[in-house]
Amino acid sequence: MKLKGKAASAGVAIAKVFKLCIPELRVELIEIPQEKILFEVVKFKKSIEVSIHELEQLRDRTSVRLGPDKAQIFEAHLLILQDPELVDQTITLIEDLHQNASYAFHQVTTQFISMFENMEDEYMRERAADIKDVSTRVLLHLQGDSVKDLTSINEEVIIVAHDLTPSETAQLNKIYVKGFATNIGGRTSHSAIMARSMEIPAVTGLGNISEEVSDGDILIIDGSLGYAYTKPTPKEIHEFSLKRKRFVEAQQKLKALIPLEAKTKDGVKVLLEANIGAPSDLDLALQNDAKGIGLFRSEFLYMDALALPTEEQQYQAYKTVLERMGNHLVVIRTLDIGGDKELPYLPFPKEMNPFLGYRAIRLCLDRQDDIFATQVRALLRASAHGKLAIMFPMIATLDEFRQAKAFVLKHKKLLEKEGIPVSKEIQIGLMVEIPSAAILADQFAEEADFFSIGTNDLIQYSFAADRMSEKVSYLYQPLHPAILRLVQMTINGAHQHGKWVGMCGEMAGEVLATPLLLGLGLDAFSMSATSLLNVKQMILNLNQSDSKELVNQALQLDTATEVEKLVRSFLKINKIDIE
Amino acid sequence: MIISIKGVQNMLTKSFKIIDPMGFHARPVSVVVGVFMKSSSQVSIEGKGRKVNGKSMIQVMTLGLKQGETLTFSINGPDEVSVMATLENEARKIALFE
Repeated sequence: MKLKGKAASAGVAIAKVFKLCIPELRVELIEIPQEKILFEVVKFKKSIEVSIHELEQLRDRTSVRLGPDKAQIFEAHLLILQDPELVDQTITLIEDLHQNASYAFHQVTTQFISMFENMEDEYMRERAADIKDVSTRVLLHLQGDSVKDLTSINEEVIIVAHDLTPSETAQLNKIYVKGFATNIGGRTSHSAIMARSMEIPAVTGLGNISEEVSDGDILIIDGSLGYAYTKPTPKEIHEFSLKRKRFVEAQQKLKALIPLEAKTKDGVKVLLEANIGAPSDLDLALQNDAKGIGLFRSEFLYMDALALPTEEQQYQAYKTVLERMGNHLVVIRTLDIGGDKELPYLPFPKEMNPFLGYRAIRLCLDRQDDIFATQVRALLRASAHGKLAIMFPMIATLDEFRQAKAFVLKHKKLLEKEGIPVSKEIQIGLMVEIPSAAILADQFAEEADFFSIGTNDLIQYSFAADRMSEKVSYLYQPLHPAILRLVQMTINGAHQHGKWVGMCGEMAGEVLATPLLLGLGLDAFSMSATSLLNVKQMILNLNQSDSKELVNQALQLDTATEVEKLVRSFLKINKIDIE
Repeated sequence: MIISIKGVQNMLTKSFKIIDPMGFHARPVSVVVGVFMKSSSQVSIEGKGRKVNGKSMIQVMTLGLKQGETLTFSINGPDEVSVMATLENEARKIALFE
C-alpha cells in the first residue's frame, strides 16, 4: 500500500521495520495466594535486575557515543530503580497484602509520581517523568514486554514511530538505521532535521503508519517524494532498488562539485554556508565545502543539559567552532528557546500561543543578569579565536535590537577592563523572522551589521499558520509572492546601507528558490550541510542577470503555485535539471 | 564551606552550604546517593528541617534544596569516615559546595 507523507530527507530506503512504540501497560489487582508470594517477590526482584542491566548498557553506550554528560540522566534513573523505599514498599505490599507485583509497584510509584507532580517548583515537577520512565520499564518486564533499546539494533532497519524524540534519535546508529517513517511532523520537525544531518532518507506525517506495519515487515520509503510503501510487491522492490542506486550515484556526482567555487555563469560569487546545531556537525559542513557557518544554534548546549550551561561550557563549544572555521565567518544565534522548545529545568509560563509568547530574545532581555549575561560573556571571550558574528533571534522592534546590542557592547567593555581578550571585529546583527523587522529593514540596517532571514518563522508569522499544526501546513509556502516581497524588502533595506544579508531558513537550501534568491541579490545562503552541493550545482548553472528578470516576474504573480510553475519553466528553458 | 562538624552518639555529621546555582538537583543528588549506596553505613540527609534516607534517590530529590541552603549529612557505621571523605571529594568535583 502506498502512503503519502512529507518528503523530510531525500533518498530511498528498503529495509525491515523496527517499530518504536511503548506497548500498552496492563496493571490490574490480582490476589496472590500465600504459597505463591515468594515467587511473586522473586519475579519482582528479577524485573528490577533486568531493568538495571538494560539501563547500565544504555548508560555505557550513550557515554561512549555521546559523552558522559549525556549518560548522566541514566545514572539518576539507575539510582531511582535501586531506591530502597521503592523496592521495600513494593515487597511489603506483596507480602502483607498479597498484591501482585505489577499492582504493588504501580501503587508505590504512582504515589511518588504524584508527590513530585504536586510540588511547587517546576524543575521538581518535571522529575515525575523520570520516575514514570523507570517505572514503565519495570512494569513492562513484569507483563513480559520490554522497552526497545535503540542502541541494540544490529541489522538494517527503517525506524517507524509516531514521532522521534531528540534522545531517541541520539541513540541511533547510522550503520543500521537506513531511514525514518513517522506518523506526524513536517519538513522542519526535529526528526526531519535529524535525518537530513545523518544523511538518511525520511518521510514524516504519514498518518498512522505505525499501525499499518509490524516489526520485521519489509518497508520502502521514498524520502525525495514523500511516500512509504507497505508490503511492497517484488516489482516495487526492484523499481526502488534502481531508484536508490540512481540516488546514490547522483550523490556521488554532486561530491565532484566539492572543489569548485560557487560562482554563477556570469561570474557572481555566492557565499554558501552551513547551519549547525552542535560542534559535532562541523565535519559534515566542512566535507560539503561550507565557506562559513550562517547559523550556529546555541540551543543544544541548553537542551541536552540538566541545568543552565556555565559560561565556561559555552565558551569551549563556541571556541571549538570558531577555531575550526578559521578565517570563515561563524554566525552564532543567541538562545532561541520557548515556542516548541522547552527546557526541563527552566520554568516557562503556560501560554495559549507559545510561538507568539515568551521566547528567544524576549526571554533573554527579561533574564539579562543570569541567562543572557552568561551567554554573551562566553561569546565575547570566544570571539578572540576566530571571526564571530552574534545574531539575536525574534527581534520585532528596533528597541529590542538596541537593548540587546547595547548589552553586548557593555559586556565587551567590562571584559576588556578585566584584561580578557575580545575581538575588535565582532559583527552584531539580527534574524529577520518577524514581518515587522522585514518591513523596517532599511531602518534596522542603519544599526545592524547584517541580517539573516529565518524563513521558517517568517512564513509562519506572515501567514499566521502554526508550522506544528498538520491541518494548516498547506500555508507553509516559501515561494509565495508575499514572502518573496518581504525577502526583497529585507535585502534592499540592507543594501541601501551597505550591509549584507544571509538566509538561514529551510528556503535557502531549496533549489527551486535558488534562482529567485539569487535574483533578489541574497549575499549568503546558509543551509543544512546536505543541501550545500545541490544549491552549488544550481548556482553553477545560473546567470544572475536572467535570475533578476525571473524574480521581477515572480514578484508580480498571485500565488505560490504560479511562482513554482514559472521557476520550473525557467529551469527547463535553461536546460537545468532538478530531481 | 563546612558549617559544622558534630560527633553525636558516634555518628559523623557534617553540614555544607550549597553553591550550585541550580541547587541540589538531579545530577548532584545522583552523585551523593551514588556514594551512599556503596556504603554499608546508615546514612541520612537533612535539609530545611526534613531528614530523609540518604540511600533513597527519590526521598533525597524531594528535599528540593536551593543554592545558599544548608545540607546536613549524617553517617553511622563501619565505613563512616571514608564515606564522608569520598562524599566531600565527589561533591566538590561537581561544585555542589566549596
